[in-house]
Amino acid sequence: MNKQEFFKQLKKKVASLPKKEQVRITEYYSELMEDQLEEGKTEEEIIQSFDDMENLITRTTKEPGLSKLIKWVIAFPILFLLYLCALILDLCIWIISVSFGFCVLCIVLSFFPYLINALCFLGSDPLITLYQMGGCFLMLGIGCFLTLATYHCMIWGMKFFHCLKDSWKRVWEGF
Amino acid sequence: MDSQLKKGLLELCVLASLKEQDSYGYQIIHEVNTYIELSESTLYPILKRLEANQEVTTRQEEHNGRLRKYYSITEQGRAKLKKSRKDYEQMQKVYKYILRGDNNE
Repeated sequence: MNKQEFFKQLKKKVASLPKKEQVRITEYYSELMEDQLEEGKTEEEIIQSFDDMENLITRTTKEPGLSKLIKWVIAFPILFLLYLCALILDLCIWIISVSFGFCVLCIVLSFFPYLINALCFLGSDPLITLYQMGGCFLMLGIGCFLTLATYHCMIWGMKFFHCLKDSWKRVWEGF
Repeated sequence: MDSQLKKGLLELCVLASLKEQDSYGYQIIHEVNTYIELSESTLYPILKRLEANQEVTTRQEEHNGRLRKYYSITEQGRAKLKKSRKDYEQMQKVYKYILRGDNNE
């Protein structure tokens, strides 16, 4: 068997695997082949030194760790429930940040009419103006605080989501 | 050798081959084969598992006009190798117990 025939057979055998895995396996064997060709071995010698195609595929594609059945029947439901809880928690963070956002919007929208109202009393009763202006700036302070809270909640929500996404991949592949 | 024992040892051997310097598939096989039989098809899932467990990292480097994948051991991988010393000492004790008196037979 020559190099071309070997890779033709290999590609056919790994066709049922995910595309990324197919490429990874093909590249792995291609690199091994090139390294040995550089050493002066012939294509036939190299292919002969590999396991026969059936064994080669079985060993190469062997799932590390748990068997596929155990992985899907036991590990998947547990992991899925855990990650679902974490996702719900992440959703709560997002809901909180959106509600903070709405509060900021309401405060900003009501600040200006409240300010105008306060200024209306400037001529007749400066004490009411002072009192209402105090209220205005208190609202502005709360608005600033809520803007910061919204920003941080969104950042946390986003970080948490990315962390979940990455850890799922690692945990799942690790089984 | 027992297949489970061999499986664990092979992983450690691959990590050990990366201890001093980064290496690539063929070189790892070449080096490890001096001590324990390791075929190309056996190495692939081991490297994949080590990478998934973050015990090795990979990078591609150009070599003679093509890309070659290099593996480097991580701190986690080194910690695993360190832990293996304790396992070895324990195993030694156990085997001494199992094989006691056999030299006299």
